[in-house]
Amino acid sequence: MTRRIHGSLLIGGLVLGIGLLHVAGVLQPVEDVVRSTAIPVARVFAAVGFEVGRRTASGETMDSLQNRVNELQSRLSSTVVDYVQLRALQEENRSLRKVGKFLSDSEYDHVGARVIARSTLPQTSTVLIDRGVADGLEIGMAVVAEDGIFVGKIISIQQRVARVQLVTDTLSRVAAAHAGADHLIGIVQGEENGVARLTLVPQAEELKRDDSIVTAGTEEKIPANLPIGLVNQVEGKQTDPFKTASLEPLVQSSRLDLVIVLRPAALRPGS
Amino acid sequence: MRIRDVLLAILFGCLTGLFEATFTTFLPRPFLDIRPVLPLLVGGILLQRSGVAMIFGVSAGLMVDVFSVGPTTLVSASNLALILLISFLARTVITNQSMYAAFALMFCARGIEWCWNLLAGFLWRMSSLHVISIAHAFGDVWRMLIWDELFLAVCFLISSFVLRRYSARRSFVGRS
Repeated sequence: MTRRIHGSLLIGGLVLGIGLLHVAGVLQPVEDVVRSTAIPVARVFAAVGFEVGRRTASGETMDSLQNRVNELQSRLSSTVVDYVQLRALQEENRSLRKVGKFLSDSEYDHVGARVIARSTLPQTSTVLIDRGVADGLEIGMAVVAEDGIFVGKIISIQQRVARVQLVTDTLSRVAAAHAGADHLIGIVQGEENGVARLTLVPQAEELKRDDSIVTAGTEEKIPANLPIGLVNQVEGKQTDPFKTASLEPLVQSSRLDLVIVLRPAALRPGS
Repeated sequence: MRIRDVLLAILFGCLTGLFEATFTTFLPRPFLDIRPVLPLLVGGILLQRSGVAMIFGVSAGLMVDVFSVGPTTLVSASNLALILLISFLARTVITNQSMYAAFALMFCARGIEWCWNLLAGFLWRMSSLHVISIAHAFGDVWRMLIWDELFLAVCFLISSFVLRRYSARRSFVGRS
Protein backbone atom coordinates (compact mmCIF):
# COMPACT_ATOMS: atom_id res chain seq x y z
CA MET A 1 0.00 0.00 0.00
CA THR A 2 2.80 2.41 0.98
CA ARG A 3 4.62 1.60 -2.27
CA ARG A 4 1.50 2.44 -4.24
CA ILE A 5 1.12 5.76 -2.46
CA HIS A 6 4.75 6.59 -3.13
CA GLY A 7 4.35 5.59 -6.75
CA SER A 8 1.23 7.71 -7.11
CA LEU A 9 2.95 10.70 -5.52
CA LEU A 10 5.90 10.24 -7.83
CA ILE A 11 3.67 10.18 -10.89
CA GLY A 12 1.71 13.17 -9.64
CA GLY A 13 4.99 15.03 -9.18
CA LEU A 14 6.04 14.06 -12.70
CA VAL A 15 2.80 15.42 -14.13
CA LEU A 16 3.24 18.71 -12.31
CA GLY A 17 6.90 18.87 -13.23
CA ILE A 18 6.24 18.33 -16.94
CA GLY A 19 3.62 21.08 -16.86
CA LEU A 20 5.89 23.57 -15.10
CA LEU A 21 8.90 22.78 -17.28
CA HIS A 22 6.82 23.20 -20.42
CA VAL A 23 5.43 26.55 -19.31
CA ALA A 24 8.93 27.72 -18.36
CA GLY A 25 10.18 26.74 -21.82
CA VAL A 26 12.82 24.35 -20.49
CA LEU A 27 11.44 21.49 -22.59
CA GLN A 28 11.61 23.51 -25.84
CA PRO A 29 15.03 22.14 -26.99
CA VAL A 30 13.84 18.59 -26.32
CA GLU A 31 10.66 19.21 -28.29
CA ASP A 32 12.66 20.72 -31.18
CA VAL A 33 14.92 17.67 -31.33
CA VAL A 34 11.96 15.30 -31.24
CA ARG A 35 10.22 17.32 -33.94
CA SER A 36 13.29 17.35 -36.22
CA THR A 37 13.65 13.58 -35.85
CA ALA A 38 9.99 12.78 -36.38
CA ILE A 39 9.19 15.16 -39.27
CA PRO A 40 10.10 12.70 -42.08
CA VAL A 41 7.70 10.12 -40.62
CA ALA A 42 5.06 12.81 -40.09
CA ARG A 43 5.35 13.79 -43.77
CA VAL A 44 4.76 10.18 -44.83
CA PHE A 45 1.75 9.83 -42.50
CA ALA A 46 0.34 13.14 -43.73
CA ALA A 47 0.75 12.22 -47.41
CA VAL A 48 -0.87 8.83 -46.93
CA GLY A 49 -3.61 10.31 -44.73
CA PHE A 50 -4.37 12.98 -47.33
CA GLU A 51 -4.72 10.38 -50.09
CA VAL A 52 -6.88 8.10 -47.94
CA GLY A 53 -9.03 11.04 -46.88
CA ARG A 54 -9.45 12.23 -50.45
CA ARG A 55 -10.48 8.80 -51.73
CA THR A 56 -12.77 8.13 -48.75
CA ALA A 57 -14.58 11.45 -49.05
CA SER A 58 -15.25 11.36 -52.82
CA GLY A 59 -17.92 8.64 -52.66
CA GLU A 60 -19.87 10.30 -49.86
CA THR A 61 -20.31 13.68 -51.55
CA MET A 62 -21.48 12.82 -55.08
CA ASP A 63 -24.83 14.57 -54.64
CA SER A 64 -23.26 17.66 -53.17
CA LEU A 65 -20.68 17.66 -55.97
CA GLN A 66 -23.44 17.57 -58.59
CA ASN A 67 -25.20 20.51 -56.95
CA ARG A 68 -21.91 22.33 -56.78
CA VAL A 69 -21.31 21.73 -60.50
CA ASN A 70 -24.71 23.15 -61.37
CA GLU A 71 -24.09 26.22 -59.25
CA LEU A 72 -20.66 26.79 -60.72
CA GLN A 73 -21.96 26.48 -64.26
CA SER A 74 -24.49 29.23 -63.63
CA ARG A 75 -21.73 31.39 -62.15
CA LEU A 76 -19.43 30.72 -65.05
CA SER A 77 -21.87 32.13 -67.56
CA SER A 78 -22.03 35.40 -65.64
CA THR A 79 -18.27 35.84 -65.60
CA VAL A 80 -17.48 35.02 -69.25
CA VAL A 81 -17.06 38.66 -70.28
CA ASP A 82 -14.73 39.39 -67.39
CA TYR A 83 -12.73 36.29 -68.23
CA VAL A 84 -12.20 37.32 -71.85
CA GLN A 85 -10.89 40.74 -70.83
CA LEU A 86 -8.69 39.25 -68.13
CA ARG A 87 -7.26 36.70 -70.54
CA ALA A 88 -6.17 39.43 -72.91
CA LEU A 89 -4.45 41.27 -70.08
CA GLN A 90 -2.74 38.08 -68.93
CA GLU A 91 -1.26 37.43 -72.34
CA GLU A 92 0.11 40.94 -72.49
CA ASN A 93 1.53 40.58 -69.02
CA ARG A 94 3.22 37.30 -69.84
CA SER A 95 4.99 38.79 -72.80
CA LEU A 96 6.33 41.62 -70.65
CA ARG A 97 7.64 39.50 -67.80
CA LYS A 98 9.81 36.36 -67.80
CA VAL A 99 8.50 33.29 -65.90
CA GLY A 100 10.30 33.00 -62.57
CA LYS A 101 11.44 36.60 -62.57
CA PHE A 102 8.06 37.77 -61.26
CA LEU A 103 8.68 36.81 -57.63
CA SER A 104 12.08 38.48 -57.46
CA ASP A 105 10.59 41.62 -59.06
CA SER A 106 7.82 41.63 -56.47
CA GLU A 107 10.40 41.44 -53.67
CA TYR A 108 8.92 38.19 -52.35
CA ASP A 109 10.64 34.84 -52.19
CA HIS A 110 8.66 31.65 -51.75
CA VAL A 111 9.12 28.47 -49.75
CA GLY A 112 7.19 25.30 -50.50
CA ALA A 113 5.70 23.42 -47.56
CA ARG A 114 3.59 20.36 -46.89
CA VAL A 115 0.61 20.33 -44.56
CA ILE A 116 1.36 17.64 -41.98
CA ALA A 117 -1.57 18.03 -39.58
CA ARG A 118 -4.96 19.76 -39.43
CA SER A 119 -7.17 20.92 -36.59
CA THR A 120 -10.19 18.75 -35.90
CA LEU A 121 -12.40 21.19 -33.98
CA PRO A 122 -15.16 22.73 -36.19
CA GLN A 123 -14.57 26.27 -34.92
CA THR A 124 -10.86 26.24 -35.77
CA SER A 125 -9.21 26.04 -39.17
CA THR A 126 -5.50 25.81 -38.61
CA VAL A 127 -2.92 23.56 -40.18
CA LEU A 128 0.65 22.63 -39.34
CA ILE A 129 3.28 22.90 -42.07
CA ASP A 130 6.76 21.37 -42.12
CA ARG A 131 8.70 24.65 -42.39
CA GLY A 132 9.79 26.90 -39.54
CA VAL A 133 12.35 29.39 -38.28
CA ALA A 134 15.16 27.38 -39.84
CA ASP A 135 13.65 28.10 -43.29
CA GLY A 136 13.50 31.86 -42.72
CA LEU A 137 9.81 32.03 -41.88
CA GLU A 138 8.26 34.54 -39.50
CA ILE A 139 4.92 35.09 -37.84
CA GLY A 140 2.51 36.99 -40.06
CA MET A 141 3.77 35.71 -43.43
CA ALA A 142 1.21 34.93 -46.09
CA VAL A 143 0.52 31.35 -47.11
CA VAL A 144 -0.92 30.63 -50.56
CA ALA A 145 -2.09 27.53 -52.36
CA GLU A 146 -0.11 26.37 -55.37
CA ASP A 147 -2.12 28.56 -57.78
CA GLY A 148 -1.47 31.72 -55.78
CA ILE A 149 -4.74 31.83 -53.83
CA PHE A 150 -4.36 33.24 -50.33
CA VAL A 151 -5.30 30.64 -47.74
CA GLY A 152 -3.97 32.02 -44.45
CA LYS A 153 -1.08 33.39 -42.45
CA ILE A 154 1.46 32.04 -39.99
CA ILE A 155 0.38 32.60 -36.38
CA SER A 156 3.02 30.69 -34.45
CA ILE A 157 6.34 29.19 -35.35
CA GLN A 158 8.91 26.71 -34.06
CA GLN A 159 12.29 25.71 -35.41
CA ARG A 160 10.94 23.17 -37.91
CA VAL A 161 7.18 23.68 -38.06
CA ALA A 162 4.72 26.54 -38.23
CA ARG A 163 1.01 26.89 -37.54
CA VAL A 164 -1.04 28.51 -40.28
CA GLN A 165 -4.39 30.10 -39.47
CA LEU A 166 -6.64 29.74 -42.50
CA VAL A 167 -9.03 32.50 -43.58
CA THR A 168 -11.94 30.31 -42.46
CA ASP A 169 -10.75 30.17 -38.83
CA THR A 170 -13.09 32.01 -36.46
CA LEU A 171 -10.17 34.07 -35.11
CA SER A 172 -8.79 34.98 -38.53
CA ARG A 173 -8.91 38.61 -39.70
CA VAL A 174 -7.52 39.67 -43.09
CA ALA A 175 -7.67 43.13 -44.68
CA ALA A 176 -9.43 42.84 -48.03
CA ALA A 177 -10.07 44.83 -51.19
CA HIS A 178 -11.84 44.48 -54.52
CA ALA A 179 -9.79 42.90 -57.29
CA GLY A 180 -8.14 45.72 -59.19
CA ALA A 181 -8.91 48.35 -56.53
CA ASP A 182 -6.21 50.05 -54.50
CA HIS A 183 -7.98 50.65 -51.22
CA LEU A 184 -9.16 48.60 -48.27
CA ILE A 185 -12.89 47.83 -48.32
CA GLY A 186 -13.37 45.49 -45.38
CA ILE A 187 -12.15 42.63 -43.22
CA VAL A 188 -12.45 38.95 -44.07
CA GLN A 189 -13.18 36.97 -40.95
CA GLY A 190 -13.71 33.25 -40.66
CA GLU A 191 -16.80 31.48 -39.45
CA GLU A 192 -17.41 27.92 -38.38
CA ASN A 193 -17.43 25.02 -40.79
CA GLY A 194 -15.12 26.35 -43.45
CA VAL A 195 -16.78 29.60 -44.56
CA ALA A 196 -15.76 33.25 -44.32
CA ARG A 197 -17.46 36.63 -44.22
CA LEU A 198 -16.47 40.07 -45.49
CA THR A 199 -17.38 42.58 -42.78
CA LEU A 200 -17.15 46.32 -42.11
CA VAL A 201 -17.78 47.21 -45.75
CA PRO A 202 -18.98 50.85 -46.02
CA GLN A 203 -22.45 51.21 -47.54
CA ALA A 204 -21.03 53.46 -50.25
CA GLU A 205 -18.81 50.64 -51.48
CA GLU A 206 -20.19 48.78 -54.50
CA LEU A 207 -20.43 45.09 -53.80
CA LYS A 208 -22.30 42.39 -55.68
CA ARG A 209 -22.38 38.62 -56.10
CA ASP A 210 -19.34 37.05 -57.78
CA ASP A 211 -17.07 40.02 -57.09
CA SER A 212 -13.48 38.88 -56.51
CA ILE A 213 -12.05 39.74 -53.11
CA VAL A 214 -8.28 39.99 -52.73
CA THR A 215 -5.82 40.92 -49.99
CA ALA A 216 -5.52 44.67 -49.47
CA GLY A 217 -1.79 44.68 -48.79
CA THR A 218 -2.12 46.79 -45.64
CA GLU A 219 -0.61 44.05 -43.46
CA GLU A 220 3.16 44.07 -43.22
CA LYS A 221 4.06 40.68 -44.63
CA ILE A 222 1.04 40.00 -46.81
CA PRO A 223 1.32 41.25 -50.41
CA ALA A 224 -1.64 42.89 -52.09
CA ASN A 225 -3.92 41.34 -54.74
CA LEU A 226 -3.76 37.75 -53.61
CA PRO A 227 -7.18 36.21 -54.40
CA ILE A 228 -9.19 35.18 -51.34
CA GLY A 229 -12.67 34.32 -52.56
CA LEU A 230 -15.84 35.30 -54.38
CA VAL A 231 -18.76 37.23 -52.90
CA ASN A 232 -21.71 34.91 -52.41
CA GLN A 233 -24.41 37.11 -50.95
CA VAL A 234 -24.44 40.72 -49.79
CA GLU A 235 -26.30 41.36 -46.55
CA GLY A 236 -27.26 44.45 -44.57
CA LYS A 237 -29.89 47.18 -44.61
CA GLN A 238 -29.44 50.44 -46.51
CA THR A 239 -29.66 52.31 -43.20
CA ASP A 240 -26.75 50.42 -41.62
CA PRO A 241 -23.34 52.12 -41.71
CA PHE A 242 -21.68 48.91 -42.86
CA LYS A 243 -22.74 45.88 -44.82
CA THR A 244 -21.43 42.35 -44.85
CA ALA A 245 -21.12 39.64 -47.46
CA SER A 246 -20.70 35.90 -47.26
CA LEU A 247 -17.58 34.77 -49.06
CA GLU A 248 -16.89 31.57 -50.86
CA PRO A 249 -13.20 30.70 -50.37
CA LEU A 250 -11.53 29.63 -53.60
CA VAL A 251 -9.73 26.76 -51.91
CA GLN A 252 -11.27 24.28 -49.47
CA SER A 253 -9.14 23.59 -46.44
CA SER A 254 -9.77 19.86 -46.83
CA ARG A 255 -7.93 19.96 -50.18
CA LEU A 256 -4.80 21.64 -48.87
CA ASP A 257 -1.78 19.41 -49.20
CA LEU A 258 1.08 21.52 -50.56
CA VAL A 259 1.26 25.27 -49.89
CA ILE A 260 3.69 28.13 -50.52
CA VAL A 261 4.83 30.63 -47.91
CA LEU A 262 5.62 34.08 -49.30
CA ARG A 263 8.77 35.34 -47.67
CA PRO A 264 10.11 38.89 -48.19
CA ALA A 265 13.42 38.53 -50.06
CA ALA A 266 15.19 40.48 -47.33
CA LEU A 267 14.42 37.67 -44.89
CA ARG A 268 15.89 34.89 -47.05
CA PRO A 269 18.47 32.90 -44.99
CA GLY A 270 21.93 34.20 -45.81
CA SER A 271 20.74 37.56 -47.17
CA MET B 1 10.51 -4.79 -17.28
CA ARG B 2 13.04 -5.70 -19.93
CA ILE B 3 14.95 -3.18 -22.04
CA ARG B 4 13.37 -4.70 -25.14
CA ASP B 5 9.87 -3.99 -23.76
CA VAL B 6 10.82 -0.42 -22.95
CA LEU B 7 12.26 0.25 -26.40
CA LEU B 8 9.29 -1.35 -28.12
CA ALA B 9 6.91 0.70 -25.99
CA ILE B 10 8.75 3.92 -26.92
CA LEU B 11 8.81 3.09 -30.63
CA PHE B 12 5.20 1.98 -30.75
CA GLY B 13 4.17 4.98 -28.67
CA CYS B 14 5.92 7.41 -30.99
CA LEU B 15 4.37 5.86 -34.09
CA THR B 16 0.89 5.76 -32.57
CA GLY B 17 1.18 9.34 -31.38
CA LEU B 18 2.32 10.48 -34.82
CA PHE B 19 -0.51 8.55 -36.43
CA GLU B 20 -3.07 10.25 -34.18
CA ALA B 21 -1.55 13.73 -34.59
CA THR B 22 -1.09 13.67 -38.37
CA PHE B 23 -2.71 10.82 -40.33
CA THR B 24 -6.17 10.86 -38.72
CA THR B 25 -6.56 14.64 -39.14
CA PHE B 26 -6.82 14.18 -42.90
CA LEU B 27 -9.66 11.67 -42.76
CA PRO B 28 -13.29 12.69 -43.31
CA ARG B 29 -15.93 12.26 -40.61
CA PRO B 30 -16.64 9.85 -38.95
CA PHE B 31 -13.09 8.47 -39.35
CA LEU B 32 -11.72 11.79 -38.08
CA ASP B 33 -12.64 10.69 -34.54
CA ILE B 34 -10.30 7.68 -34.48
CA ARG B 35 -7.88 8.15 -31.59
CA PRO B 36 -5.86 4.99 -30.90
CA VAL B 37 -3.62 6.19 -28.05
CA LEU B 38 -6.15 6.09 -25.20
CA PRO B 39 -7.64 2.65 -26.02
CA LEU B 40 -4.15 1.17 -26.12
CA LEU B 41 -3.38 2.80 -22.75
CA VAL B 42 -6.52 1.34 -21.20
CA GLY B 43 -5.74 -2.05 -22.74
CA GLY B 44 -2.26 -1.96 -21.24
CA ILE B 45 -3.59 -1.13 -17.78
CA LEU B 46 -6.21 -3.86 -17.96
CA LEU B 47 -3.58 -6.40 -18.97
CA GLN B 48 -1.62 -5.34 -15.86
CA ARG B 49 1.24 -3.82 -17.83
CA SER B 50 0.97 -0.35 -16.33
CA GLY B 51 4.70 0.29 -16.56
CA VAL B 52 4.76 -0.37 -20.29
CA ALA B 53 1.54 1.59 -20.68
CA MET B 54 3.14 4.53 -18.91
CA ILE B 55 6.12 4.57 -21.25
CA PHE B 56 3.82 4.16 -24.24
CA GLY B 57 1.58 6.98 -22.98
CA VAL B 58 4.44 9.44 -22.44
CA SER B 59 5.99 8.70 -25.87
CA ALA B 60 2.68 8.96 -27.70
CA GLY B 61 1.72 12.06 -25.75
CA LEU B 62 5.02 13.73 -26.59
CA MET B 63 4.40 13.15 -30.30
CA VAL B 64 0.87 14.54 -30.06
CA ASP B 65 2.15 17.61 -28.18
CA VAL B 66 5.01 18.25 -30.58
CA PHE B 67 2.75 18.07 -33.65
CA SER B 68 -0.36 19.63 -32.13
CA VAL B 69 -2.09 22.19 -34.32
CA GLY B 70 -3.73 24.21 -31.57
CA PRO B 71 -2.56 25.23 -28.11
CA THR B 72 -0.83 22.32 -26.43
CA THR B 73 -2.73 20.41 -23.74
CA LEU B 74 0.37 18.54 -22.46
CA VAL B 75 -0.92 15.15 -23.55
CA SER B 76 2.21 13.46 -22.20
CA ALA B 77 1.43 14.73 -18.70
CA SER B 78 -2.29 14.03 -19.06
CA ASN B 79 -1.57 10.44 -20.09
CA LEU B 80 0.49 9.97 -16.93
CA ALA B 81 -2.30 11.34 -14.78
CA LEU B 82 -4.80 9.22 -16.68
CA ILE B 83 -2.82 6.04 -16.08
CA LEU B 84 -2.75 6.87 -12.38
CA LEU B 85 -6.49 7.40 -12.15
CA ILE B 86 -7.48 4.49 -14.40
CA SER B 87 -5.16 2.14 -12.51
CA PHE B 88 -6.80 3.24 -9.28
CA LEU B 89 -10.26 2.62 -10.73
CA ALA B 90 -9.18 -0.74 -12.11
CA ARG B 91 -7.84 -1.85 -8.72
CA THR B 92 -10.77 -0.64 -6.63
CA VAL B 93 -13.80 -1.04 -8.89
CA ILE B 94 -13.43 -3.77 -11.49
CA THR B 95 -13.14 -7.43 -10.60
CA ASN B 96 -11.84 -9.09 -13.74
CA GLN B 97 -10.18 -8.38 -17.08
CA SER B 98 -13.29 -8.70 -19.20
CA MET B 99 -14.15 -6.66 -22.25
CA TYR B 100 -16.95 -5.00 -20.27
CA ALA B 101 -14.41 -3.80 -17.74
CA ALA B 102 -12.40 -2.39 -20.63
CA PHE B 103 -15.44 -0.57 -21.97
CA ALA B 104 -16.16 0.97 -18.58
CA LEU B 105 -12.56 2.06 -18.07
CA MET B 106 -12.47 3.51 -21.58
CA PHE B 107 -15.56 5.56 -20.82
CA CYS B 108 -13.88 6.93 -17.69
CA ALA B 109 -10.65 7.59 -19.58
CA ARG B 110 -12.39 9.71 -22.24
CA GLY B 111 -14.25 11.58 -19.54
CA ILE B 112 -11.02 12.36 -17.70
CA GLU B 113 -9.36 13.47 -20.94
CA TRP B 114 -12.30 15.76 -21.73
CA CYS B 115 -12.07 17.34 -18.27
CA TRP B 116 -8.32 17.83 -18.71
CA ASN B 117 -8.86 19.58 -22.08
CA LEU B 118 -11.55 21.77 -20.53
CA LEU B 119 -9.15 22.77 -17.75
CA ALA B 120 -6.34 23.39 -20.26
CA GLY B 121 -8.60 25.63 -22.35
CA PHE B 122 -9.63 27.54 -19.23
CA LEU B 123 -5.98 28.06 -18.21
CA TRP B 124 -5.03 29.22 -21.71
CA ARG B 125 -7.87 31.76 -21.68
CA MET B 126 -6.83 32.96 -18.23
CA SER B 127 -3.33 33.63 -19.53
CA SER B 128 -4.90 36.20 -21.89
CA LEU B 129 -4.40 34.11 -24.99
CA HIS B 130 -7.33 34.42 -27.33
CA VAL B 131 -8.13 30.72 -27.36
CA ILE B 132 -11.47 29.11 -27.96
CA SER B 133 -12.47 25.91 -26.24
CA ILE B 134 -10.01 23.06 -26.73
CA ALA B 135 -12.36 20.38 -25.42
CA HIS B 136 -14.41 18.61 -28.06
CA ALA B 137 -18.18 18.85 -28.17
CA PHE B 138 -20.16 15.98 -26.59
CA GLY B 139 -21.19 14.69 -29.99
CA ASP B 140 -17.56 14.31 -31.03
CA VAL B 141 -16.65 12.62 -27.73
CA TRP B 142 -19.43 10.05 -28.18
CA ARG B 143 -18.15 9.25 -31.70
CA MET B 144 -14.62 8.87 -30.30
CA LEU B 145 -15.96 6.51 -27.65
CA ILE B 146 -17.63 4.33 -30.26
CA TRP B 147 -14.36 4.03 -32.16
CA ASP B 148 -12.51 3.36 -28.89
CA GLU B 149 -14.83 0.53 -27.90
CA LEU B 150 -14.61 -0.96 -31.40
CA PHE B 151 -10.83 -0.74 -31.25
CA LEU B 152 -10.73 -2.38 -27.81
CA ALA B 153 -13.09 -5.13 -28.94
CA VAL B 154 -10.86 -5.94 -31.91
CA CYS B 155 -7.75 -5.94 -29.69
CA PHE B 156 -9.44 -8.27 -27.23
CA LEU B 157 -10.51 -10.65 -29.96
CA ILE B 158 -7.00 -10.73 -31.42
CA SER B 159 -5.50 -11.21 -27.98
CA SER B 160 -7.90 -14.03 -27.07
CA PHE B 161 -8.11 -16.02 -30.27
CA VAL B 162 -4.94 -15.24 -32.15
CA LEU B 163 -2.32 -14.59 -29.50
CA ARG B 164 -4.08 -16.65 -26.81
CA ARG B 165 -2.47 -14.45 -24.16
CA TYR B 166 -5.60 -13.19 -22.45
CA SER B 167 -8.28 -14.79 -20.35
CA ALA B 168 -11.45 -13.05 -19.17
CA ARG B 169 -11.64 -15.42 -16.23
CA ARG B 170 -8.42 -14.05 -14.76
CA SER B 171 -9.17 -11.60 -12.00
CA PHE B 172 -7.56 -8.20 -11.82
CA VAL B 173 -4.98 -8.19 -9.05
CA GLY B 174 -3.65 -4.70 -9.59
CA ARG B 175 -0.05 -5.76 -10.19
CA SER B 176 1.80 -3.10 -12.23
